[in-house]
Amino acid sequence: MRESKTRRRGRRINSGIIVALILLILLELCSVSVVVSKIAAFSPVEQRNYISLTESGDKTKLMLNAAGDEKTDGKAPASDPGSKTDSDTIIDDPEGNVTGFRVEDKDQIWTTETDIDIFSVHYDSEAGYPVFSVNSEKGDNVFAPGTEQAYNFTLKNTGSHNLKYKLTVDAYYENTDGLWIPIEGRLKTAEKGYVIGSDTEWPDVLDLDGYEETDYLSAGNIRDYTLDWRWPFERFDGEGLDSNDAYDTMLGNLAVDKDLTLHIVIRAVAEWSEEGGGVKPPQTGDNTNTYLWGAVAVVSLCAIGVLIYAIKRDDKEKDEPAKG
Amino acid sequence: MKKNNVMRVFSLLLALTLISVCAISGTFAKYVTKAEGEDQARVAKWGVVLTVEGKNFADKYLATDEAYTEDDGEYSVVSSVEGEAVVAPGTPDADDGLGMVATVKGTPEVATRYTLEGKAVKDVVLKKGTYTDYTQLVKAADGTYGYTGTFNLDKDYAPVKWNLKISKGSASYDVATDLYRALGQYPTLLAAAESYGFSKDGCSFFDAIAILKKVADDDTYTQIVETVLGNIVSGGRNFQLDADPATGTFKLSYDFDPNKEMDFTFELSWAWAFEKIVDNAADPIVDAADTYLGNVAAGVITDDNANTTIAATLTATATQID
Repeated sequence: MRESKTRRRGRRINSGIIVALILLILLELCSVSVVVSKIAAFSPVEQRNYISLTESGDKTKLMLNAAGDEKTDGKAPASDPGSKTDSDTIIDDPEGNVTGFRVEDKDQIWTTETDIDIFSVHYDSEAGYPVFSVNSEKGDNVFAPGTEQAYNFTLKNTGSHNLKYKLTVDAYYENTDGLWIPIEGRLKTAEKGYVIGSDTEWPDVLDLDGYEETDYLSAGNIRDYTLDWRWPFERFDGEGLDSNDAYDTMLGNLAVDKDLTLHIVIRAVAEWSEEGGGVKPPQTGDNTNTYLWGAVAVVSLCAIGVLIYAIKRDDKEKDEPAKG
Repeated sequence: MKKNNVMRVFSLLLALTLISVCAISGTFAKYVTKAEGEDQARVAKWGVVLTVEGKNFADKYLATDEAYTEDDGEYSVVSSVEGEAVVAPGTPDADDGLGMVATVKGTPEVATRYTLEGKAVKDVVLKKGTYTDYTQLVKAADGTYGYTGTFNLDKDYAPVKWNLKISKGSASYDVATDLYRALGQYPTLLAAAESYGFSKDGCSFFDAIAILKKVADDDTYTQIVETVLGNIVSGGRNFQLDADPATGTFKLSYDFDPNKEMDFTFELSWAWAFEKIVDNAADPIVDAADTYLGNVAAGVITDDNANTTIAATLTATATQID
């Protein structure tokens, strides 16, 4: 009678163990399958010679060449458009798709902190003066009444995935102590036309500050931008030309002892996107709750340990009556 | 046997668990690429400082004739109204310290055009014609004396001669003299210029330019001006020099490349010579004309062909070249 109770109890335990095992196996398979699918999507092959695509907060100017050697020079040579830089990173997905984003102008491919040529050290004369009519004494960039320049740059999606990008512009003066400087600026894209200013309207260059544009760039497409600025010789701002000349002269005289500096910063940040039409990109972000699946895996591991302990204890109990 | 199978399943689960834990221990960051371009520039330096100061005329002038005064500091010409400037033959003396001085200093980062314009808004002039000679009393047939003689001017007589000097550091250049010297490379032109009264000394700055423009074609004139002013105003280019004695105006300009130092002084001065030497003798017509002008100024005679007031302005500008 006593043996019969022990046997029934053993059968109940075995049934519970089997159910628990099946449950554990299912949970484990689920968690592992999720994890494996994520790993497969993001890291199909060994990636060497490429920079991590995570956003660089420290603005490192690291650049890798095709051989994987590190270079400390932040500028890619103009004659080597295939060079891989921070803004020209390529990642292959399991389907062989390629994602690449590049910002470039006529001289260079941008990195994370690129010196671009919105301004110049010297400017040609529009009136036929035989040498530069404006020329910096120390080789740094300058602007003066009558100078103007257009800067063209291009966002390129060199891959086969859609990109979502965000373009921002900062413009600010330094050392001016609030003094107004009559620089005007505009920004236009080939697709949208002027996004700041117009064909006839030249807003103050500080109107560029805070400009933000978020858009999509289909695979293989480009988006051209032109940022142009000017310091007009003659302005009709209600004060008359004479006063304009006097004001400009005052600024030029102040500049003898103090650098009245204008900064313009353009940032472009791009990420893979499923939106925007065109070729559907692979998943680029992990939106599933990996913590949940991780917890399931940990719990199942603990459960396995408990089960092992329970089985061993059960075997021990079975062995003891036999010895007794 | 059953126990071994269970252990195998447990081992497998254990391995899978470890794999999953390791795999999800990392993060699945979004792939983000960032590019940043920055440029900066400063206002180009100007810092061109111009000055125009001094005075051309005075109400009294120091004497130069030692026979007139035993002591220095005596005046040989004194206006009847204190503070009212006058001019007279033989003025000014070098010690009078007269003359308008324009200076330009600076090293701008933009191409700059410096222009100096002068204008004798009024001038002492006796227009060409025949006038009474007040230098000689002529005895008439009846035995009386009177100013019955005359003198003839075949062109306007403007006795006040303007001169322009350009200085840099300790070096000083007389523009009229340097133009005459440069003309020496063109013997034919020099002879022609001298026939119009262009001489090494005693030629007005206005007259020098006018004569030069009269005898030389445009290209040659430009070349001579470039040679003279290019030698004086080093670092400049595109020299322009023009004057019109009829209106008493002149204009001098030149361009400076960015970052070229400008440090020059321009002095506009005048002189009313006592006499003009012709063939080693004083030209009597000059004395007659001077005396006639003096009598007009005194109100002894009235003649609309004579102007006895003089004034001059000097304007300097520096302009950025586009």
